[in-house]
Amino acid sequence: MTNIISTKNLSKSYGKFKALDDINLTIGKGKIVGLIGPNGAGKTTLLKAMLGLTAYDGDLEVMGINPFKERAKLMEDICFIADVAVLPKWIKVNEVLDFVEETHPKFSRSKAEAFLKKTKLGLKQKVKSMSKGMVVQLHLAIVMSIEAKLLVLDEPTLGLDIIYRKDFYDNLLNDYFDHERTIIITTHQVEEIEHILTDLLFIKEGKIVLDSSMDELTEEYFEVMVPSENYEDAMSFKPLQSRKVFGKHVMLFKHVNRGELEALGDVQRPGVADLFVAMLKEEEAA
Amino acid sequence: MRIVNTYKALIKREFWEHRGAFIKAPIIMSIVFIVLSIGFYITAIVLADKSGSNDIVSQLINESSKLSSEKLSMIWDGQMMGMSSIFLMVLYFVLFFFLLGSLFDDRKDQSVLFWKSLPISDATTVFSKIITAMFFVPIVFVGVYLALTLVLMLIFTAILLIHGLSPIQLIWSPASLYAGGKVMFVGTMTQMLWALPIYGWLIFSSSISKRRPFLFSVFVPAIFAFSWYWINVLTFKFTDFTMFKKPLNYAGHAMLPYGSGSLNGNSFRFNPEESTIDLIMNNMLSSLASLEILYGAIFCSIMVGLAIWLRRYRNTT
Repeated sequence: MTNIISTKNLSKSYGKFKALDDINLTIGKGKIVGLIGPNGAGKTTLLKAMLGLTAYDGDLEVMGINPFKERAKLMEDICFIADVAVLPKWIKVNEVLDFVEETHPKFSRSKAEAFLKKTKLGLKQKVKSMSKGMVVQLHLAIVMSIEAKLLVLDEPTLGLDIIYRKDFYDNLLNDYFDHERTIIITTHQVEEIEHILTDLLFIKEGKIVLDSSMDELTEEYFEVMVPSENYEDAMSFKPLQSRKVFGKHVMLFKHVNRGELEALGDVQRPGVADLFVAMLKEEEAA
Repeated sequence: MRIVNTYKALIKREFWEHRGAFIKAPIIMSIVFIVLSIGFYITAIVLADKSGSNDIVSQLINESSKLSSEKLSMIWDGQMMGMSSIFLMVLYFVLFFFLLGSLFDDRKDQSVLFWKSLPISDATTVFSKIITAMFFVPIVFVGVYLALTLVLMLIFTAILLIHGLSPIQLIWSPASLYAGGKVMFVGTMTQMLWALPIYGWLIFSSSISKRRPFLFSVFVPAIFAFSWYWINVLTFKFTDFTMFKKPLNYAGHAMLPYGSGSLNGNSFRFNPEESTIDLIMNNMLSSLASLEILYGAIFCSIMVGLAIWLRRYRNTT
């Protein structure tokens, strides 16, 4: 079974509002998928459906299981961090370790304690007395000590300062990810995760507008730094987007021969954020 | 067995979260009892000394040694049951607020998603909370109460020894810690059985409320009762209000389980041969053989079922 997640005509409505509109996608094993979209696009609803936290129409299988019907069973193989404030305030570090140890068959306490040794957290410390960053460290230590097949992160670094954010993703990539596991991440700080992603999903108004691997993106989309003298030439290739930075035009192209573009200026892989904005504009124009 | 471990962890978890109400509250109450007892003794001595008749306390204590052993047993029985009925009332309030928050607090602080990220079904979670309230907290209260009684008996022993009297005759022979513990334990279980519909209603309120479970739990029945009354007034049928007595009946029995035998409308069975504790105990047990307990348990099951359903299908944020 190489597909961790597969959906067929997955939809979810809140009254007349369609949070998810006919989504068809598959996510394979060993991927790190960025789920990117504006506020209210349906990211969280899609994740909730995958985690068995909400009912939906259509088909959805997560590791061959219907998540809504068998949430408890599924949770043996999925971990998720939904938001920074999610650990209960009253609990102590050793209590949460005890609890997960006794309830989760795939949790390794020694691993978690090893992760925690690298932090300033004490075993007797209450979540109430921790900063947001420390809470995330604790949660990540727990999650990384569970032999899960799928990790779902919904805005895991929201409200954290830059040092914690960087550490978070470094730990995730170095100590956790091993190509047997799959990670799905949503975040607004796309720039921070784009270097670790293998795949990208753009979602807008409940629809998937882009489903692509990062490699494919690099082959299809190019960002070119065009000096002013080549501006007219470059415009003839119909860039998706053009903006001016330090006297040069940064242009985004799709499906243009790389050789031709190199004649215009330096070619590089576009940033995910720029790509996303350009694609949304393209959608609106169409 | 994994499910046993899961339940163990879930119940421990409730005690971690509610350490203050489940463990500290009865201990603090016990300390107050102990301080009051010692304080009362010292006050009596000091006041007697001030008024010049400083042997009046000794005289009183000496007089008590002339009481018959039956009288002494009755006094101790009364003392134990008076104290344990206060424990039972506090237990009732503790469980009231525990159940009201049980499926609400974790939604309020959003930790519900953490609990739901573990491989534990919603039914298991809800069951663990109701059995914590039904059995485990009462057992802790009985334990603390027994420890308190023992400490008080030791203090009284010391006082009697100061006055040169026999603690065996006055305390250890007439007072039975075992009987005191037994009646309180049966008291907690009687309380629990009568309170089942209330516990069920509270856990349901906790699960359904989006903001204020307390207001929901109190006002929904109040509004229902008021509407019923109003309809009856409007239609000039001042007939049937007995149905309001029933819920209050359950609440009353649960508040004062020791009185449940006579509250139930059964005539109080009196046997002059029995000790006070046995008398109360037998009356309590007789109150349990009633259909009302069964109806209460059925109502409780339905409410718990609804609470699980809500937790499972609606309460995800």
